[in-house]
Amino acid sequence: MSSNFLLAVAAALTPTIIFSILITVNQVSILPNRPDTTYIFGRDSLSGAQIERIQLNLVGNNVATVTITYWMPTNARYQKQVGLYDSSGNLIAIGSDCRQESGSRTRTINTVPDISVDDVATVKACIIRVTSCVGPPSCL
Amino acid sequence: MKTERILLFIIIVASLAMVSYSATISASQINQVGGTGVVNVSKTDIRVLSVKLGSASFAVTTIDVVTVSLTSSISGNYLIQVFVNVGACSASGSTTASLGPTATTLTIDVSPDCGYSSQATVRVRVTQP
Repeated sequence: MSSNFLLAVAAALTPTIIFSILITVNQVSILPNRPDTTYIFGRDSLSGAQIERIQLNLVGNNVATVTITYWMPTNARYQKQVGLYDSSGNLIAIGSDCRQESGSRTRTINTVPDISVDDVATVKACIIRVTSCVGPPSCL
Repeated sequence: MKTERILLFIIIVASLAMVSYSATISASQINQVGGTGVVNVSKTDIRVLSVKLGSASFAVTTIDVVTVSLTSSISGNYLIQVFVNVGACSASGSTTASLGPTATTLTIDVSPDCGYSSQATVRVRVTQP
């Protein structure tokens, strides 16, 4: 086998090497896993109570709790609920809180079950004035 | 003769390495785009961790800005767009920002202003600029 033959083989491999480098460079192009995330803020038109801020709190990659900031114009009982939905619109985690209060409040609500934040496509929080905190959730 | 053997050995090892490398890249790229075999694509996890309505501290009556907190598993520059819907009012705004694994908080002006009179929907879209 001559040196010329081996040099020819090496020359033939050069385009493949360049191609591999180009593939590596192009790989840094970014495609977000899910381009859209939707947050829905509930407002109780009868009482004027409203959700103003929603925050997902993670433990590792899982959503463990959701912190909401809300406003209530009058002192009354309010039911607050948080729902997490997947990209198909299925409710995959839920949490709620109910108590008598007024003004601006921030509370952290446990959501169950713990789910991966990457499965959450839509976050919805709602608030509604109720006469009693006993009873099923009603505003999601 | 010895030189030729060394050169031949290098060529064979390099060829095997490139074949293995190319097969790995091809397989991963196909997985990332759902089996279509498209190259040029890499996946990143964008997470929108919080959204706040309006510029007022509390008792928001007008949605003139939206404050979002985001992370990205791959650091880089991104276009962040927000689309607001309240009843018949639709508003939008956008900004570009550098995102990374640590949460970045952005306050984005939206236009036109929407009164907060009923349920508000905020859609956050993150893409490459």
